[in-house]
Amino acid sequence: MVNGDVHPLALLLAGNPGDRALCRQMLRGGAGDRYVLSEAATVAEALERCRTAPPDCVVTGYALSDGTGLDLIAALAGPEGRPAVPVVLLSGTSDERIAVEAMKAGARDCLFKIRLSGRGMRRAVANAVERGRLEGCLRENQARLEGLNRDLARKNADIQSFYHTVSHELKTPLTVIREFAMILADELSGPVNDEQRAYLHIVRNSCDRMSAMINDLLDSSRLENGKLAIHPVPTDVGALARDVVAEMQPLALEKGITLAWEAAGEPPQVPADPCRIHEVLVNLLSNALKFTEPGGRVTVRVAPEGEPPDGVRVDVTDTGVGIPTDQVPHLFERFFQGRNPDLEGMGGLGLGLNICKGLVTLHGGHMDVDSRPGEGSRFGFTLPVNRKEEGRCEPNSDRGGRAGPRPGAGDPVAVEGL
Amino acid sequence: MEDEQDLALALAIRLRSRGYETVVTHDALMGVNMAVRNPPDLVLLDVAMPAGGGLLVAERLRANARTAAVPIIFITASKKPETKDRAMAFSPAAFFEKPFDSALLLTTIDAVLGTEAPVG
Repeated sequence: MVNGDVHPLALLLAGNPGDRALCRQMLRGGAGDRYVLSEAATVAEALERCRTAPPDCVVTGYALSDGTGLDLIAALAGPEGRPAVPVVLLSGTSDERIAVEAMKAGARDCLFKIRLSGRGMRRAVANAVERGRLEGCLRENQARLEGLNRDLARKNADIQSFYHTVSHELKTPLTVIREFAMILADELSGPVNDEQRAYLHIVRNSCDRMSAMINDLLDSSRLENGKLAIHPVPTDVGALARDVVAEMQPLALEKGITLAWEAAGEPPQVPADPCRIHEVLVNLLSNALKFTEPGGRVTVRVAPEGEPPDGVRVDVTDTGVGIPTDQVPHLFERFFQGRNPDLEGMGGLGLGLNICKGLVTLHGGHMDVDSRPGEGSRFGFTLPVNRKEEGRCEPNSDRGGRAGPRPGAGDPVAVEGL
Repeated sequence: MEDEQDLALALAIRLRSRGYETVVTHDALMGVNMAVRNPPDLVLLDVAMPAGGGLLVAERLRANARTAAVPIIFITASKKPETKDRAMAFSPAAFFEKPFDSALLLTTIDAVLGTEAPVG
């Protein structure tokens, strides 16, 4: 480290007092930096000086009574292998091999006594001091950043575990509310009239909505921590999609939207967690129905993926409002709440698509979207036949089914047709 | 534990409405004493109970000839595999993790009581 901002400390190590005097003279001449000089005659003495008063630079001769300049460099070597104190070797011979060896060992510079000039010496030492100073700054900055990074990681872990606790704590009283509302509605504690029963069903439905949001929060935090486990079994995704379409049909009818199911070819069975893929499909369909006007159309299409088929592809296409182009790349981000400002308040937590993508990624598949304002949207995902088992959430397991970047965590999403 | 007691009450109301005589206790030792004195057809047991815990209750019930064969359904809030392993050592009739689907719990109870010969 530089001792204050005043004068750098240079340690001169040479067995011969004449050599030390020469160096002293050279470093004190000229108009550049002025140095505080300290001197040592042996490697041991120099190491002791480096320990008690670390210099900003060491100028050492090669041959010393208790070793060589290279021994000094080796003894000063820090954890990165290079001495923390810059060392300039002053070689008595003009043997280039010593210079090469010294530089390899981590010397900053190697000067040859026979070609030595005051300017050359001052320049070498000034450079060594400056580089040493810069490297010191770099090390400090790196240590600071590493510390900050650790702090942030810990804070993030705290937040995640807080999510988890909050979600769990909220669930219990919510369950109690729901249970007792249903005990009342089922007349287990006396008769209720139809109006009262209808109100109790509103209580239950609100509990269920809140419960779904809490589950999303929990899943999202588990996905973030890589702690969400899926249980894949051989699954006919086409049949699953047909079931979900049937399930959502009443909602579509209510909104006056045509909800259709299409199958193309013979999609293979894929290893999938049926509950989770069901969840993804319900999410995509709910979004499509939510953002499509009465009279519009929502289509679910299931097709083989790849040639020959090595997966299945599901697309949910709507004739809805579409998504502003600038929002498309952010759709799968956690907490992203975009869509049309006209439709504000149709909210949710901004977790749905993020969870969908996380679940599809856990299955080894990928999600993509294309959309244009006013022309509707298409959300699609693929599920591979051969799911990579190792590393449950392997972000780079793209098997190249489609063009475009894979929407892994934080990656840009594959945007097609824009 | 207030919420848990409320949930236990809700469950008891449901069970009584299905015609089961239901006794609720929130204390492990009291539960063991009650079960031994008047052996039930089924014990619904929360692993995390005050005064000893559900596993201790299970141990005492299994050790007593009067209650050794009473089917046990465990309920736990713990996600730790060792909790489940320790509970499974008592060969329970079922094992539920919180939050559980109360409808599924009720049908499980129906199934256990329908197929198992009543004890005591």
